[in-house]
Amino acid sequence: MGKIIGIDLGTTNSCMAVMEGGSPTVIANAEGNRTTPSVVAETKNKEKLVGQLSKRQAVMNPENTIFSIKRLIGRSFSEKDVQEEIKTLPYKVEKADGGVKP
Amino acid sequence: MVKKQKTINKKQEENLELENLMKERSELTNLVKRTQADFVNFKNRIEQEKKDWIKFGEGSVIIELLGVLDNFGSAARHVPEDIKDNDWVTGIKNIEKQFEEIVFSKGLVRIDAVGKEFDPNFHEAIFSEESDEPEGTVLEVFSEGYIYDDKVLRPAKVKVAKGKE
Repeated sequence: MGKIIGIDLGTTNSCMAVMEGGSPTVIANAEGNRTTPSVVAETKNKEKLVGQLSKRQAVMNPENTIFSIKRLIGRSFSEKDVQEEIKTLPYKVEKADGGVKP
Repeated sequence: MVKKQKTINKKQEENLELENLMKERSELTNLVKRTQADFVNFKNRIEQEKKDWIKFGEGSVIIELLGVLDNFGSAARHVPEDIKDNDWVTGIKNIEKQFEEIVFSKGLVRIDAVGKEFDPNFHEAIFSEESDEPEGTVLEVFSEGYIYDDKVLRPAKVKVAKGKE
């Protein structure tokens, strides 16, 4: 039987857990940490990175490192707060159908 | 006639009860299967974790010792010129070497960085700078990175070459 995984998607860090014997158990990531930075990146070689690895290369590749995206999820592109936010973000945010597309 | 009706009602009731019991039974069977699977997974994980814990225990001690190693390194780099060849200073440097030998003999490996291509698996970019080196080359190490038991204990903090504008 497939397992259901629960993800707490945080603005800065995320945490994953599975139900086991009726109670949730946090599972560690590949690096052995119980939380994973909520960061994804695409390197110049088009390689996709997730979590800690993306964070490590963030200074070299600010345009293609997406972080703090939770602050924008579900908000309208035209909102004043969103527009203010975009000014401070190194990655490009584009308008999508009614929503936001970084 | 009335008696017959009663028998039918009773039969229906019994059927309903049987249906409920069957449902309950299948629910319980499912629960047992799931719990059993959970238990097998749990057992396997505990087995694995037990092995990991031993390594992790050693790793966590080594990670703390790395701070000492770092400080030995920076102290050695800042020995005043006039006492550079002093026997006492040489002695301290030998203690550093002895300390390194101990942790390396436990399976600690230093991460190669300078001149290598930046790899986020092993390196952490602190900043990037324009340089004649090809883009993405590690120029300088600020703090050494270490691998222990095939896991990166600490990534090397590095300066990386940036393409010229």
